[in-house]
Amino acid sequence: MRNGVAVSNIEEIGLELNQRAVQVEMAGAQLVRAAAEAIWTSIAADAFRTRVDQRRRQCGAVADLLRGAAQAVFRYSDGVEAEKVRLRRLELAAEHAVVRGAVDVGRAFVGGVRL
Amino acid sequence: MSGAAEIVDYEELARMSAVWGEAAASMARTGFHVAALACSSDLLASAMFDPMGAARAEAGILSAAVGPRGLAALSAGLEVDSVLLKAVIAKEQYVDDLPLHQVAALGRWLVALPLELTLDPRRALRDGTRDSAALANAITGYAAPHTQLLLELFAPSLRFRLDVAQHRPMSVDPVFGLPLAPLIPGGQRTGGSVSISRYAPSWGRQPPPSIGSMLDRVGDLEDQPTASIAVQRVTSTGGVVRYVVVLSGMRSMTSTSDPEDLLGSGAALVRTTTNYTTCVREAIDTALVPHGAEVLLVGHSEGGIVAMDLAGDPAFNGARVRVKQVVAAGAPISSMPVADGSGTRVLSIENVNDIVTHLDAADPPASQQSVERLTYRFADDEHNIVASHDVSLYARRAVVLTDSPNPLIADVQAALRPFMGGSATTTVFTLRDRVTP
Repeated sequence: MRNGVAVSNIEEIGLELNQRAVQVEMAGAQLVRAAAEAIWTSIAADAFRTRVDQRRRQCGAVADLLRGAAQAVFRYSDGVEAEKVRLRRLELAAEHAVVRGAVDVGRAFVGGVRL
Repeated sequence: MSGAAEIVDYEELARMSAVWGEAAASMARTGFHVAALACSSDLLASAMFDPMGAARAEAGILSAAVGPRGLAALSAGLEVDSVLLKAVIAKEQYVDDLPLHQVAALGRWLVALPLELTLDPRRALRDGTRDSAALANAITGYAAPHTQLLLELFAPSLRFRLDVAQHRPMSVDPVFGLPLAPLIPGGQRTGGSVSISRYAPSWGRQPPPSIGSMLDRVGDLEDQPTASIAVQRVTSTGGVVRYVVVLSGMRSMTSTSDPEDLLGSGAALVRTTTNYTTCVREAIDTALVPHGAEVLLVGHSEGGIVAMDLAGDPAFNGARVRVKQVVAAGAPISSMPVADGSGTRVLSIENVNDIVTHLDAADPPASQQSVERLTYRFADDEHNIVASHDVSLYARRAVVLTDSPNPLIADVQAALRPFMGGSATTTVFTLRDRVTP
């Protein structure tokens, strides 16, 4: 479900990307927590903690990329749905035209016979 | 390795390296799954309806999976961090800790040996023996972190190797696989008595303010001329009375008339009822500790083993007193259980370069620890078996636990707080192997 409506297979891909984004952010938070819990103080420790912060930001950037990809997938899904609707409309119009044409031909034929 | 304001804890680095390695693997897996989504038939089959949209979606997914700032790059970066941490640990364990002085001393002796043998053969032999012993002493601590692996691989007894692999308490000897418990002489398990010592420690009227100070007190008792333990009665400001029992470690490699000798330590390792545990029970009775009182057991070396023997005995822990917490330092207790349903928490402080902590051939888990069973490990190779096991070394290292950001250690500290405040009185007891007539 997306916004309360059933999702297509393409939208499921977008939802999975969003879920992966959350997982990546959680992994980044876990790294920060592991480093914060360590009893380790020195110049190297400070350097490492700076690096941990960089990795957390990197995780955030990757999560943003995943969310961006998810948005692209949702837009694509919407585009596909809109195109399908447009084609369906054309198809119905064509069907309607064919049926109406057949009726007209029928009428003309029946009139020519002059029963 | 530690300095005044600098603590480098290689066990912590090993833990972090493991966390980083897991994160790198997790990112790589996620990257693979995300890249697979770009090839999904659902995505490709509908491309004819919106080719540009499909191209944008594909590009977005591939950028997140394998782009220069995507999951693959993040995974690689984390893996590099993990490898660097491992390299730091390996450098410390295998290079920095290498007993170079001892190796060099033996090397010098070997070079000078032909000449020394002609000049003064007795002195040459004496020097060689001394240098070899120093190297063996240093190598023991150097190899100590690998004791479990070495025993698991090379112990001649299959039964022993199985016990090690399954993290079971040691029950047989590593060579012949003979049961150890029957080998303990009856004199080490059927005796034990105490008498009140005249020693009045300077800390006797102060509850221990920290884990480090608890171990300092153990050290103070170990410095006494006789085998001693202490029972401290702590009355909180609210009037609740609790007890801290301080258990000192082994004092002699040769047989003595008290339980703090090599035989007594061996007995404590393989039997739950020994002269030492009898001494502690008697001391608790003599100190008039009420039934069901809350007790904190603090021990170093043999004292830590005895603390776990008592915590694992339902006749003591639960029936006589309630052991709330065990604090053990330099004690091989990784596979020793507490009494079922007792809720006793165990904090074990272990120096990985202290061979004594590996005598049970069972290492504590590096991860998945809990507040009920927590092991704080550090690496401090003094290149000397006795120095790496010294209680004062443990007390110094325990000081960092006071301000530890680790939530498990903070939780243990919080649980210990009732034993650390209020007023106190202390009785010191002298231990003996023989039973009082």
